[in-house]
Amino acid sequence: MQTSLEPVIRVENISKSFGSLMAVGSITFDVYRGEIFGLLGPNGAGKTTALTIIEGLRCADNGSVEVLGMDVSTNAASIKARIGVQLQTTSLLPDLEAIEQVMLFSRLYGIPYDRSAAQSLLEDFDLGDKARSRPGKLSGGQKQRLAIALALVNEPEIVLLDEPTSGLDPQSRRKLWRFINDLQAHGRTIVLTTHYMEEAETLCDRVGIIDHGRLLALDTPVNLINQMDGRTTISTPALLPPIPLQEIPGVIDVFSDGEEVHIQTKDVVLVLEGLINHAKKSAVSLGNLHIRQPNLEDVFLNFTGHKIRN
Amino acid sequence: MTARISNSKLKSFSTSMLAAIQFSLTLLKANLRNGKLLALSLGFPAFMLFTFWITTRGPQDDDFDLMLVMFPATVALAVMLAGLTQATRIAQWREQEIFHRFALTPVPLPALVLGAGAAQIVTGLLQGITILLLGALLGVIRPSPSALLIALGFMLLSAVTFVSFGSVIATFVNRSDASGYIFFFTFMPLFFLGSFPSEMLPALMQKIIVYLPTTMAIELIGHQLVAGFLPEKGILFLGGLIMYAVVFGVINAIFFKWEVQ
Repeated sequence: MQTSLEPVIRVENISKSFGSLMAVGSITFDVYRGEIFGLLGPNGAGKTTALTIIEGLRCADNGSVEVLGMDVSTNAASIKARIGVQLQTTSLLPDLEAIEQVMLFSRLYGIPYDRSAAQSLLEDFDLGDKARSRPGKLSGGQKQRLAIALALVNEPEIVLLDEPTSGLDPQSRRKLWRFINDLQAHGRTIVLTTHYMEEAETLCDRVGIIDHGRLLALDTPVNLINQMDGRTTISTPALLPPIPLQEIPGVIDVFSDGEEVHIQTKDVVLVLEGLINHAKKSAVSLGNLHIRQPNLEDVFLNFTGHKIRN
Repeated sequence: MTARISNSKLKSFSTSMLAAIQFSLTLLKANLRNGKLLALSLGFPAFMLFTFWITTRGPQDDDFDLMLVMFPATVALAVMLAGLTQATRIAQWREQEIFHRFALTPVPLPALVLGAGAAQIVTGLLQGITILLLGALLGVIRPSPSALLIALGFMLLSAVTFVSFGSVIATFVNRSDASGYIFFFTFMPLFFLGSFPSEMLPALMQKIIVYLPTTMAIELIGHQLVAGFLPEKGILFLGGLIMYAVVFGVINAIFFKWEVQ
């Protein structure tokens, strides 16, 4: 992964509201050349709005965005020619075959592909045998791959992917991850939004955690997880009657998402002993108890006080 | 400096127009192989044509040939139904964020919307020509070449007007299915009012229907195909149809939206 410290996207203090709803509130971050940068957050967190401001499709109420050294508010056309975008909805023309979509979009960028060039691009995305298929005949994963292929017809320096694996089965998701890694290996900078913790952790060089329009944390996944200071999470279904979990020795923090109670600790054995004793005293079953090493899910929980909601 | 800017603007304009034409041709090709689309917008008028043709094969009143009234109406119907596809497609593209995707290309969105409209207009014209050919095969009409050429001009104008009308509906209706239904249920009564002989209608309706775009289109096309000349109110109809096309176009230009709001 060849990343540099040259920022290709600079987002400074942007905010955007729709009526009384604040979609994005004072977000600032840079994206460096060659990296995979992820915006991680639940649906409605403001990720897509932030992305559309970077694309130049929406104007921020405040703040500024520079893409490849150009202000998006004044250079949208020049920027569009140098970025590739895949939308969450895939946005494929329902009446056109896959190969026709590639040829059409290449023409819209003034770089007309002939059939063999279009076929070759489709083959790069394992869609060679689907060249004559219309979107209605493609699976969810194939549609997403076609949408990403279309985002590459203009050989963009930056590729923006909005929830690229949303709704895909695990196998298709992993396949798409490989394609995204390949894009990076070919020197492209990638900005993606996701609400999948594992995706952000596996794919992204840096992750920005966003919720309710606010950027809560920004770092590499490893550094974000290290902020958890080695805390392990013990999760158990919500207990009735409630046990005073904070009083158990070794407990650092306790969160509840309505379905489960999450206990953070650095001393799993001590907490488990205390939990079992309390459960015995209160005649409560601990049920489906499970223990996890810290991951981005815990980071999110730590910053927001709730689990990511899909 | 000014000359350089003008040159770059001109280049950018011609690149956009070229892209819009290529987009239009791609859509036209897709339209012509879309079985479902053709089943409705071409199959329906063709079915009407055969129905009228069969039901008028028996002994007829010498003074009134229903086929000569209904045939031009079916031609006009095939042309005007292009607006139905436009109404559905524009709303669908907005629903499925296809306009959003187009807006991310360097080609200005209005050029692509015009390209999509042009594809629909040509589709409507080709549908009308197909019904014309069927009518000629059935021996319904034998227009002179000059009358046929003028009728084709009126068919083109009708296609422009009704494709614009379809776009207007899609501009104000977010859902594609609703947009199609609204076009259909607005258009069909207007079509029937415009296609039957006005003498069959109440006096008040006779005064109103001359201002309907469907009446204008059917009268203009029908008179050319059957009689070979303009109808009595030909200039009014021609001007009216142009006015409708312009008004619909202006509404589209002002109110068009690329995303669901």
